[in-house]
Amino acid sequence: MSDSLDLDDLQGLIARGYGKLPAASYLLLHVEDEGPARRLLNGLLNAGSVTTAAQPRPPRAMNMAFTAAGVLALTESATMPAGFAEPYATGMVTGHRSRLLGDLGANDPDGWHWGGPHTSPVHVAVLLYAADEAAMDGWRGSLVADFDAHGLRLLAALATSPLSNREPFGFRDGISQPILAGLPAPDREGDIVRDGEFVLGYTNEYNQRTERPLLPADDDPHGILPRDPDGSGCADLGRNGSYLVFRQLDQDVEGFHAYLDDAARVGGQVDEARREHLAATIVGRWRGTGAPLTLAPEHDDDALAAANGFGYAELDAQGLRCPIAAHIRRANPRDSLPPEPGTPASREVNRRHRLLRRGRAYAYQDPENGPPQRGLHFQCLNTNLARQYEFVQHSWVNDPSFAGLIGVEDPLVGPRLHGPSSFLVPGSPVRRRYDGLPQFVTVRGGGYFFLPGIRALRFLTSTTGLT
Amino acid sequence: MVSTLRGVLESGGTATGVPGAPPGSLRLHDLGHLHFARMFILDAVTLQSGREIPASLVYMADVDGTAGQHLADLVAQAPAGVDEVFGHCEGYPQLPEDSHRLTWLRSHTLAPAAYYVHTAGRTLAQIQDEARLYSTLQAIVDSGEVVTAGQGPPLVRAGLRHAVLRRSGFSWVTKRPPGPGLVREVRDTLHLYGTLAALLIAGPLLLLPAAIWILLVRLVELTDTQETGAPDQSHVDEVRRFEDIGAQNPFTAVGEVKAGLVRRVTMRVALAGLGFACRHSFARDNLAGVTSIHFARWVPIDDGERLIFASSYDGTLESYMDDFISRLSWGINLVFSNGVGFPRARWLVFGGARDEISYKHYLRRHQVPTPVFFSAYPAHTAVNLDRFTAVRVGINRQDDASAQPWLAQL
Repeated sequence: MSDSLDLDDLQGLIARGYGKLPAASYLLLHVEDEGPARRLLNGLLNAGSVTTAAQPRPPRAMNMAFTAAGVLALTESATMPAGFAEPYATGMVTGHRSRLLGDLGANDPDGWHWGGPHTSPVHVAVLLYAADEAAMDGWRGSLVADFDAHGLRLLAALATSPLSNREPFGFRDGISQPILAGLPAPDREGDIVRDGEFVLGYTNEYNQRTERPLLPADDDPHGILPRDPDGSGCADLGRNGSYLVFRQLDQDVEGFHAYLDDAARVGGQVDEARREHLAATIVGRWRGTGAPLTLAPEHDDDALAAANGFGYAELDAQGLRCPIAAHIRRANPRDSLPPEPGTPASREVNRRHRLLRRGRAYAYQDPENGPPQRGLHFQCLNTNLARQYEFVQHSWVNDPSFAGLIGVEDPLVGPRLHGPSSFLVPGSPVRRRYDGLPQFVTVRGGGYFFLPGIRALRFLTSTTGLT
Repeated sequence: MVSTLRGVLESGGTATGVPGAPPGSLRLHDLGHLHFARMFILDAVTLQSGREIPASLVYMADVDGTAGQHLADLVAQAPAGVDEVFGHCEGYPQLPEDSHRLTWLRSHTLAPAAYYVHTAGRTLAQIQDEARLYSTLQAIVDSGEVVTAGQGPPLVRAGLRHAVLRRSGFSWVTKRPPGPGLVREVRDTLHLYGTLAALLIAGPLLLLPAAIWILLVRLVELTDTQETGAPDQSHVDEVRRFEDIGAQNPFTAVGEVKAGLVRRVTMRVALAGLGFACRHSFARDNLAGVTSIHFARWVPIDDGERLIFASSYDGTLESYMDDFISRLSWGINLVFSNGVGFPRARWLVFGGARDEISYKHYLRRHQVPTPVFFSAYPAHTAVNLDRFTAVRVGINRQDDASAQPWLAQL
């Protein structure tokens, strides 16, 4: 039951991160007046303004996604159609989900700038990409004016830094990405993962189609939506869509650097080699070139810059080169987990928990002359929020017992719910403990969005009263 | 009244702010032999047979020693707590004395058809000792008092061992872990070989009936129906109130066994086989490759018309379910495909739990909220406990080759 991706019906963000468009801006909108809002969004769609995966090098790009509240508001519906993923339908902010995602303490949604319980509900995210800031400015300005005139109130326009391959702490970012089996693969190393892990309505790593909303055919009398490829006759609202996880993550850049300097200070002097090694063990890659510690355990190595074709089982099962708690080893354990590290069986398990990352870094000056605020607008795409994003966040990144660890948090992004953390750096004859790691990354906003296929977008902007 | 009882069960959580905490009056923390305990309410139901089953309270405990001794200790230690909880049950003695309480509790005991223990014979005392050894070793390493740069791993290990043994309360470190004990081991061995011998002798005679039986099962499978759609959100929310608090979670579920002799007998045989496997093959450190379960039990109730499955596992329900789908779907199917509404299986082992979404919805739908969940070591996964034991065993080894991997565990 494999079928090829319908690129004309996929929003472009699934196929690419728009690396050729360095300027990006994310508009978060609230639907105030649903009729005009539908007409406007539908008009943008009909004008071809929404970028599809079939456009390889667009001069600028726009994609859009909706929260569950947004789908209800836009379509004037009382309840969500069955078949949407439960985390999406109930939202990122529930008591249980906050426990699950580590959104407690400093990460508590109570303090979020957007998406939390005390801010206006986000309904629509419009993601804009342009060649440069000047092109972005004019385009964004006219769009925002249009939105405002059509019942779409702007809650936030999230700016991003000009695209670079470094995140604010100075590390190379976005090196390891799953490759969709159905997309033409660029020449790079990585796991090939079945389309259904990232696009709804296709076969996933369980060789099944992930749960998605299927509507009675009568609900789509004009045949806007594709039909269920399994032949049920249902209108397939999910097909060619995906779920977008969006989290604003503030990074304490000064705090991070200060911690590294303090920890590497020997007799008043910062030992740079030691500092860079500590930084590398926290992440799992050297800050300079992105060479993985697993391949380059002693020092950074240009020849291994951003190398990605490696596993942990053979070279480093015990975490003597790259600590098991290091951020990239948690976020993508590759071949190191049960049932049998180093085998295809282990890699198969890993492929069920991959995320297609699309986020960009940001930096802005606090309006009240505070310190510059830097961070990451983390975005990832997946089709099974519970098995992919939430699993990775809870059971791999945040779990102090990950892979047999005993009370060791993620040194880079972990929430410090029990105060400052400690971290063990491998050494001979024994590891060295670094104490007092503060929280370096703080969640400032977030939401789960549905990034519909183009036909589903047309349906959602022309339909009322979903059931 | 069921609602009053519910309030009592949740009183511990209300008082401490930690959902699932047991009612303080039971003082479960003071029992030195209790690993896990849980309490939950099964709502009144009408079974498919037409039988009316009133609401009932279930108490489960994983203990060192026997169930009978555990109940005696519980009653002796917290009679008021026992009254507060079980006093809501029909037939519980009025103005009870300890002996009445105990008689009543024992007469309401159900034996599981199969029972899994992550590591048989590892007592709570051993776990606590080994956890203390581990943290003490960590502290010694951190202090730098023993380890100096340039020392070889064997010397460092010997130094750490010496430093630990100098402290009081660690003389047991030099001994091997006690294990289940000689009596249990002899009995298990006899049971294993006795059963295998019996199967070997009876095997040829059983082949034909077994083949016919499998065909019969396949025949009834053709008329199976499965539940569809997602579970009710309010039910999911209620179950989740008590989930993802510590490192471990309770899984508690109940379901009806499909009607008819074929299903009943198949379920019974499958549970017997499972019990056999748990006793002889899974009792070291995993349940058929799944290392995240501390204890699990399968308990037939209502004369076998329903089955309770309960486990204490590490991580989230999502990771737990994925472990089962990818590693153990055949075993899950063998037992649970005899349950009403389970995703359709073929030949008893194929299909079924492999249907990811249907299986996950099925489990959620059949979960029972667990308002009381006690763990004596809430921060430690089963794999953590295994590591504590490995460190304890490894500290005594003399061969040089094992010294470096041992140090890497600290």
